[in-house]
Amino acid sequence: MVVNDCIVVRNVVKKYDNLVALNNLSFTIPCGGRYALLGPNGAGKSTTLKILAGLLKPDYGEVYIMGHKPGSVEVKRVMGFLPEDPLPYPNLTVRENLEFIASLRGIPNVKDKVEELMELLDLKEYEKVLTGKLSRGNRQKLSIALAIMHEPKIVLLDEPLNYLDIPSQEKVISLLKKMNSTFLISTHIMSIATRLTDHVIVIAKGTMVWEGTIEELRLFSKEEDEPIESIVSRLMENVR
Amino acid sequence: MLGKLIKLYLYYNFFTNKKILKSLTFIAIYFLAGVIPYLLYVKSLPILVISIPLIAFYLTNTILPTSILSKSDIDFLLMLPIEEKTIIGARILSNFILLLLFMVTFMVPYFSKVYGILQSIVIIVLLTILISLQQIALYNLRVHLKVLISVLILVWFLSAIIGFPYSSLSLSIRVYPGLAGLILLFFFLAVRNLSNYKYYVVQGVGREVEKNISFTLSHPFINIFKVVMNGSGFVGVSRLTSTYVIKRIRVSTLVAISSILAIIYYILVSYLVRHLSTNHFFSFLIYLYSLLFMSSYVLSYGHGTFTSQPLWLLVNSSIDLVEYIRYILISRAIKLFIILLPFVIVLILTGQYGSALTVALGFPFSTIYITSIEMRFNPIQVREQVLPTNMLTFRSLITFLLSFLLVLVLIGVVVLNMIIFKSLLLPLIANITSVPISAVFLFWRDFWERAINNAVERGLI
Repeated sequence: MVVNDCIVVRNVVKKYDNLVALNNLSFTIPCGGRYALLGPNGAGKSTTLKILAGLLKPDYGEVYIMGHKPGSVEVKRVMGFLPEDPLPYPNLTVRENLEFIASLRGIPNVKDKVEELMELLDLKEYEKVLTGKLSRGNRQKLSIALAIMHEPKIVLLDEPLNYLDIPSQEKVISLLKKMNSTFLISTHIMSIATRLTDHVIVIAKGTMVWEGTIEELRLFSKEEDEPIESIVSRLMENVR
Repeated sequence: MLGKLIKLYLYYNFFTNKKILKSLTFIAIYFLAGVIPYLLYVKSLPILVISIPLIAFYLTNTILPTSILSKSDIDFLLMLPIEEKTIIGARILSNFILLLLFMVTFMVPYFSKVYGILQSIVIIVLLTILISLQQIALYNLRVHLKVLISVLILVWFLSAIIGFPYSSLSLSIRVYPGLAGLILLFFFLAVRNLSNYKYYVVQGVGREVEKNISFTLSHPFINIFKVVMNGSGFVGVSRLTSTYVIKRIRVSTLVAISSILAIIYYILVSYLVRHLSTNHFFSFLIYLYSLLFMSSYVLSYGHGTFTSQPLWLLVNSSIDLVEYIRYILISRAIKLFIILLPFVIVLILTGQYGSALTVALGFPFSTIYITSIEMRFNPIQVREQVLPTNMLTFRSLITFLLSFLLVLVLIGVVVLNMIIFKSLLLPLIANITSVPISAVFLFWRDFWERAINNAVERGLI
């Protein structure tokens, strides 16, 4: 089966009691696309990612990841998901967390893969430290490693660079840029969006308000040097 | 300002957060622990009526809630332009008021049976002052030292059971001198501590773990089993703030602790009771409390299954959701069986075959049921090492009662069997019935999909 759109979200509605988190949300992301998910606080970005990850079920609408339902084993095989403020197994060390998930994924040469990731993300010196005792930055690096260790075809990241120092941010950006995957990255920071993605989906109040390339987004500028943050802010304000 | 702060604390802790009531397990323990000796009051051993609720209350209040200020107090309240002494003073006084309310409500019925109402109130007020001062006096000690000191004080209190005349609760002399002496000692220690109060313990990077768990490309169950057997997640609370301390406790340590407790049980039941005139009653009480202690452990063990389980890694594990949960639940049940094995052996040695069967079979399977009910209807997760807020709501109360139901029935059956039927058949039927009731959750896909959805909706990830 040839699938052109790796992520399909169609008329999705999700309510938390009386609060409408997603209201008829629809978008598609072609395979290999690099998309940023932007929106104000409470717009429904994290809910969207959790639905795509299969952790939440929509009340209404359809969601497909490479033609399969989220949460299915077929999707899990090809997906890497990083939530906001992730906490890996706190009572396992850095190495143990990596080995545990790598072995559950069936990654060949587990030890080599773990070594490679620890070297890549400067985690080697903490390999025997319990994850619950790591700094937030190191915990974030470990979580990123856990999410992408199997080189997933679909990558869902919620604020991936939170808590990272600048050198670590550069390492993670470089790592993610090398991957030939379909990306959907939720972020508030436009510089991350512009460096890691080339398309933008703006949602507000659970509905998509704009979609296009970052170049198209720049065309909305009122002045020549208007920062992209200002343009996005105007887009979001218009919906309020 | 002091009065305003006290009012604020009382309102926050009692009426909104219901912090004092957050542990439903403890309330159940106080109730069950106190009611039984109250009903089975024996005139020759009146001190027994207060001993069990006193043990439960004293230990939980001197060892567990060790902080004076919460993390939120330190992060935000201390930043306000208010004298630190006023803030700490307000906290201590409001804690004292809440503790006194709780003590009077729960302890007066038991104490009044032994001492009469007026004298009971005096003793309870003194005990509340003692507990409040002890919390401050020992706040910066390690947990095992606190346990040791609290246990020694309790042993002194309860030595009245075997007729020690200088126990502070002995009826042969007035109770006050002993208690007053202790209060005075803790008062001086508390004043000294408060003049040099430390707000933070800098955790830094933790020590390296000596023995690493190695994972290979074996069956997923083997790897999940290794995780469950080697780690116990969050244990204890921080010395200074209401935060959990992360520590790995191997199953061998837990087996060592349960072995010591099982040996103590065996010694008490086999030898000590022979020297007391009311040996049958005492033996029955010890047996009953051992079962209640184990069942409360089983309950908290079952409730704790998913508290430190990162649900988001379910997505990154490429294993089917139900399969993953099944392996966790089975591993946890096996682990509980291993932990309780010393008690199984001791129960067999003392001829309590029905109880042994319940501890060996019914309790491990019950954890599957308890975890499933709790996860579906009232999931809790520890995040950022901060104690989860377990609000007392109608839903949480019903969930608690529902999750406790199976264990309660199993205990009821073995106790009834011991008193009336005296046959192995009834416990056998009850335990065999408990297996499919619990095992159904291992394969119930729709149930777990709803449970995970509900947990994520509540912000667990």
